[in-house]
Amino acid sequence: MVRRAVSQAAGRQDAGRQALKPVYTACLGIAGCGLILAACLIESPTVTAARNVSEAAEHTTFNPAAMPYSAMPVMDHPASGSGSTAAANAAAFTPPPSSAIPDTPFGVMVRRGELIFTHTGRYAGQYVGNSLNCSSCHLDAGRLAGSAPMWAAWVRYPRYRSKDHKVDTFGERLQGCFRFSMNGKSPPANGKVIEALEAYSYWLATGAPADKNLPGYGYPKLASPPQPPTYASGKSVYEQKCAVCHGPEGQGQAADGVQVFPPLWGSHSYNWGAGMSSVKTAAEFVQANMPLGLGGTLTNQEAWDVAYFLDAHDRPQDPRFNGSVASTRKKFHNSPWSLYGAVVNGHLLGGPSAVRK
Amino acid sequence: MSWRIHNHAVSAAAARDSKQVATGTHNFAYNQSRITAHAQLNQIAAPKSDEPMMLTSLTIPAAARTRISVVCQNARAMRRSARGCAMAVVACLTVMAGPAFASTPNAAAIAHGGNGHGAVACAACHGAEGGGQAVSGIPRLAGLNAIYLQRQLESFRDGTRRSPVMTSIAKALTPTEQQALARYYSEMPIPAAAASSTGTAASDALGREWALRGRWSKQAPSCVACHGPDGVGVGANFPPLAGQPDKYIADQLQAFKDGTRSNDPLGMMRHVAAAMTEKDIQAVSAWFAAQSARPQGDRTQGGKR
Repeated sequence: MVRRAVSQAAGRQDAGRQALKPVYTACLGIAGCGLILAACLIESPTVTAARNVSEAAEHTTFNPAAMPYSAMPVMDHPASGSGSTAAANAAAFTPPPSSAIPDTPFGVMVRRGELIFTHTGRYAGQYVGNSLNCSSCHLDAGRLAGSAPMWAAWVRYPRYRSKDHKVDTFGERLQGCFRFSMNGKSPPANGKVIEALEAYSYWLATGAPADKNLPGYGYPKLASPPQPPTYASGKSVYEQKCAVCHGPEGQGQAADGVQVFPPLWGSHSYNWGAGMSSVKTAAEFVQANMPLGLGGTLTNQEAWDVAYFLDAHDRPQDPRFNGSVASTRKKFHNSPWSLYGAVVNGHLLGGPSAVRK
Repeated sequence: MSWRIHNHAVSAAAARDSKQVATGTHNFAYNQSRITAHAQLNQIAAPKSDEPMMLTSLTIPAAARTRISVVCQNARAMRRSARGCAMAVVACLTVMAGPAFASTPNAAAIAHGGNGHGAVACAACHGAEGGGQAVSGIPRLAGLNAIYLQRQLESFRDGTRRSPVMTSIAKALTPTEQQALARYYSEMPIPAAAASSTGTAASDALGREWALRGRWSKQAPSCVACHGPDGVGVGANFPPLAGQPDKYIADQLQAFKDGTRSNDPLGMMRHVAAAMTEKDIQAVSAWFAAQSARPQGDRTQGGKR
């Protein structure tokens, strides 16, 4: 009887343990889940920062003004037009004159590069898909300080570029120009077009120190605008200061078979992958270099406004388009400086009407 | 702030839109409220048209058409009378021609005979074919842009361009006459002018340098950057330089430099001219005077010399 009681008790204990087994399992499971959950929720500071930036970008996507402007760098030189651009240029490196190109096989290649640079559609036509020239955005045939001169670019490469997530050679950088800014296709890395452009850039840099930040490189940094840029303000600036050359519809102007003033948007301009499709880059270029010969005369606000206006128009599709505008934006244009994927005047920028090559 | 909220809504719409785009079911109707909101927010207006003013053409006003039909009905009634027929035909032509002459100036008549109230014949100085006179520095008008030509006449009227000869002529032309003359000359073929070459090799090089490269150390772009390959001219704002008399080009550069000409958009030419010396002006004027004014369809670079 006692044995039965004991065994019954033991059986009850066993039964109890048996009954508790699922409970133990459940507890362990819950504890394990809790640990995993904790690990997921408790981020590293780096991840937090990255997430904050991308969230900020998501919510302020179409409003560059919502960027933390206090974090933006101060300009290298004053924004208001007072000949400051000329003064800055005077302090920069001066490339040799074109008349100094030697009369050698090397010189032949340099001249070819200069021709490609200034008449890109004519001398490298098989890689060009629009009516721009290199010199449209790199003024004075790639010589002008403050207009992304080639002599300064030459000594900046190879360098890591976040656009490609890798270290690019100078030649690879040039290939990107054809693919995006020229809305064409990359010339072969070891072909004559890249070779000629490299020879020209190298020759322009004759005597320049190999400093990756030569004064006058790129476009001068621009302070944030006093007011957030708007389409209406940009349109007003465009009509007053830009349309005289670039046309009322941004189509540029041609004469006698030559595109004289480049198109700024639409199917014959740079595509969404080009650097100039960033509002920030365009504002920097415009403030320092436009109107042609009158660089530095637009106010900071005017430059930002008109750059916003330019970016608010459609242009050929990004060659990296993956089938979804939202996804392409997230992957390649996740920045407050891009209006890619925005809806402006009822039109989705980068949407179906963006020309697909 | 309203724009911030709006942009958030827009971004949400874009996300939805792009999903719809991806699946091929994009529905623009969804965006109507956002179109309105966006338009109101940004006060978007239709782009201003920069189309040239529609130049008047020969039309018969309705009242004249009525008169014509009445006269012609009367003519049919008298058709057995030969004299009546002749009178009717003459009457028709007079009725048709009268209002036409009254509303549209005869540009050819003014160009070759003056307008009878202060404006002498254009051809007396600018040539029977509108090719100008190189020796006197009188420019070609034939083939220039009509809007540009009309603006120059307006500039002579309002003083932003000054000429002892042109100022009084421009003031003696009515706006309608100016418009008609501008159109008339714009449609004339560009005459084959003998290229004038008065420069030395050195000045050729200097002129070519200004024309094709500019002087960026003084923030002066190349002339062809705006005036087109070899200075053939671009649209309404950048007149041809190719083949214009070198004296004319030099006079205009000097006028921009000393401010007596101030009708250049954005002051661009005054800025460029300020950067030029007398020697630069002579050289670049001679260079452009030697270029061919006629379209070639395939200008790349360089021009002559």
